[in-house]
Amino acid sequence: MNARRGFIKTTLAAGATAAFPSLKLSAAPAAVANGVPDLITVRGENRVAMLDRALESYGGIGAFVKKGQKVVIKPNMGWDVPPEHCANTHPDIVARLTKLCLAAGASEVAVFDHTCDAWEPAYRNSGIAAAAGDAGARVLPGHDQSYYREVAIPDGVALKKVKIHSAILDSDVFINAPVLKHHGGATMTACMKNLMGMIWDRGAYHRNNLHQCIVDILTVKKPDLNILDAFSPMTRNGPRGRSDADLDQNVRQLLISTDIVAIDVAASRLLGHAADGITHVRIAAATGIGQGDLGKLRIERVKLTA
Amino acid sequence: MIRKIPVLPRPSAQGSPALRRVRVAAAVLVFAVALAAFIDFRDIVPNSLKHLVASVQFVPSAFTFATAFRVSAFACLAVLALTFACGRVYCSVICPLGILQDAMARISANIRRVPSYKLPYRKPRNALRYAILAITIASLAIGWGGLAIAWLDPYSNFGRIASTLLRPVAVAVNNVAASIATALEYPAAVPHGDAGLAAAGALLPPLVIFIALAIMASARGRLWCNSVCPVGTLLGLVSRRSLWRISVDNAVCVKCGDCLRACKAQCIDLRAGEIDFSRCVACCDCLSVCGEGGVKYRWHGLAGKRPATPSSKDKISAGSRSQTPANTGRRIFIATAATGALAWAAVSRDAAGADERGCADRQEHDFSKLDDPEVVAPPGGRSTARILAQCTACQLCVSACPSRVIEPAVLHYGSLMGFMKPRLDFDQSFCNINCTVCTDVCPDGALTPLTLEAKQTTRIGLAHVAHPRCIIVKDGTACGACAEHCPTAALQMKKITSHPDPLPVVDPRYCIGCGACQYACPTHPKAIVVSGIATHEKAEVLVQEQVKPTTIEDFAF
Repeated sequence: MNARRGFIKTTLAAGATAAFPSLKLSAAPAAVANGVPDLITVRGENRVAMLDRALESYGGIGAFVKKGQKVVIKPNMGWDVPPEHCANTHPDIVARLTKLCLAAGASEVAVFDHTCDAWEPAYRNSGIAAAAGDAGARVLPGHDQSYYREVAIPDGVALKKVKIHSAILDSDVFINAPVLKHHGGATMTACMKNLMGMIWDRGAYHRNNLHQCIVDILTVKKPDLNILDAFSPMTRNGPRGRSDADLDQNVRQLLISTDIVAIDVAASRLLGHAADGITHVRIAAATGIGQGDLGKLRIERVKLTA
Repeated sequence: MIRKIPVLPRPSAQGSPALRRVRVAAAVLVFAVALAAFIDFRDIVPNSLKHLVASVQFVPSAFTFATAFRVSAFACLAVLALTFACGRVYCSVICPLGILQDAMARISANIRRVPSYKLPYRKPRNALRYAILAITIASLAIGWGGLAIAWLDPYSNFGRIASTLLRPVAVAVNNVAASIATALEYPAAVPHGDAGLAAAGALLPPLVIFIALAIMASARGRLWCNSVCPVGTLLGLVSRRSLWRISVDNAVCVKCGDCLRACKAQCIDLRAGEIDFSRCVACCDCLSVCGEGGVKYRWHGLAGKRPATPSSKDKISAGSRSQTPANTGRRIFIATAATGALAWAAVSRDAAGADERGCADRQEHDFSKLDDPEVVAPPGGRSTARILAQCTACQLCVSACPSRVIEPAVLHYGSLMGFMKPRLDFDQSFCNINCTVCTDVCPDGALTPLTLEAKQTTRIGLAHVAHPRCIIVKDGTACGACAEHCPTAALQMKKITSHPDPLPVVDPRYCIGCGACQYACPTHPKAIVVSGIATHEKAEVLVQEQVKPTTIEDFAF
């Protein structure tokens, strides 16, 4: 575990100190010459292949998951809608991740979400409970307060304490695996906003300066790895969506990063926002949670042909 | 040579228990399904099975018969036919309240360490039972059927007992088990959010009825069924002349009284050698205790009394058919049925009339609706008037709702007629747009079955917003929890002139009143509240074009 942390720290440091010239938007996609990139995005036609290729840049999931470790995957499965509506993380991604983690020697892979719709239909109809369960994950409920433990947030601006799901608190490796969507309240939901599903009282966020709360919790708990499903992002009527007509079918990307701010900045660009267009992402960058300037990141862009 | 003579077995002193065994097995099965249907807090029992066990019940089926054309409407006719054929089998095998009373009597007897029944013959309480039946039917005629039927229907009484009393107990037991299992790190156990206790007002009446039943059942067997229950009385009018009846064979009977003591209906008059089959619930306990074969379940045909003389075995003289008091019973039945039919027709017309009237006066946006919202009836209910007239408050929809948004009303419908009838409580949960469970399970047609497509455009209420209460205006911070949950995109965050940030705006054309916005609203008091509409409507569907791809370049960053 220490090895992993050390590795990640090194990676982050490398990213922060990298003296690369600003990558223009029109810059030709190119693999990063040496070292591990800060942000990897894969464009392709198959989510599983894209995930495998993205992880390859780290040398596989083994960079994060060591033998005997407890892994928790937090997808977005908040809504009672089928996978093709893309309101939830695609089940293929969660299933593949589960398999990879177990193959890397994880003692357990837990999957849960504190759903917005009723939890059992959402778990079922998102397709995630079955897919992850079949892959060997322990699918945990998140609908009862008894699963959550209170954690103090000493550096919180708006949020001073929060109840976080035990599966997160008791894990060795925390993988955040959301889906990219428009969001009526927070403008966009990607990696940072997805973590509202690991706490008990979402209403407290809404009452208490939503964007600041989304950032505050990151001062006590950050994912070790963020994997963003941006295959067909929902660009309106989010986060629930109404039909496939809400989806931008032309994005076909999967993003992966250890930096939750960097990946969300990139995500906001995918939805057509300015790099600092999402309030909570801007606050997080300013607070130093992660790198908000894409120009300062080593980004690997990969195109997979089908 | 002396041959060994085989010893013949002596006639069993146990009587013939076969029919009783079949009856008990069938009753246990039906009761288990009915009980599971109501306490199924994990939604394991299929909804079709819940609907089935409820829709074969007499009163729900009769309601359906009077108001809708559905297969389950014929269950009441089947029950009548079954009763005419072989007595009140319904009361022993199908009616869950009847079976519950048998269970109560048995448990009580076990506790007191006495035989289940040891009761004397009693004369029927005709004045009482016919009066209650008459009142029930009369109440239909004056439009109070929704109250009287709801509170006298045995199935609905069972539903209320199971849903409001037994289910919370089951949930509590589950939660204790789950917390122990969780402590032992056993993953399969899942606690259920909360025990779902009904409001005290809705808890009390089923509790009172439950206690009354327990006392009556353990002291006097089927006293409720033979003096209070209008279904029992109605079926009794039919069963007194059933084709097959249990009767005393006076040629064989030794008047030992075994059958009498076993009879939970107290209807065996051994002195006269007669059984009052209008009160017999066909439990067959007497058959199983009679060692002599003195009570028999046998063909009586259309005859009044089975000839008492031992010599005339199975011959029935044609002349004996038309003289006896049989006709009294038949006349009462025909009169009852006719009155009932007229009453049903009146009720259904009333409800239909209300449907049409309600359309005219739909409320537009009204801020007072936030503080005093109108009651919201479940989808498929069509109108509050229809719920009041037709729903028997059995709580099956309350129990089956996967979102737990349906609650028994106290005085939300504005009168006692609506007591314990279903209403949606959007402070607790919201109505899932992809769900039709309440309309699928409803046994009495009060909630018309809706296709998913129809449900998704059925407006049961309208959302009303008060911007001054909204977080975005009050605190100046982002929220949008309401818009987040809105499944129809009727509620959208829009820039309006009075505020720099987008605020929730409801387009009433698309709002179906599902209550997701109200449930999600984090302020106290709520800045958005759904108020019910007297008559449900068809909402428009927001049609949007396919979004244009936002990414022109390969990666966009």
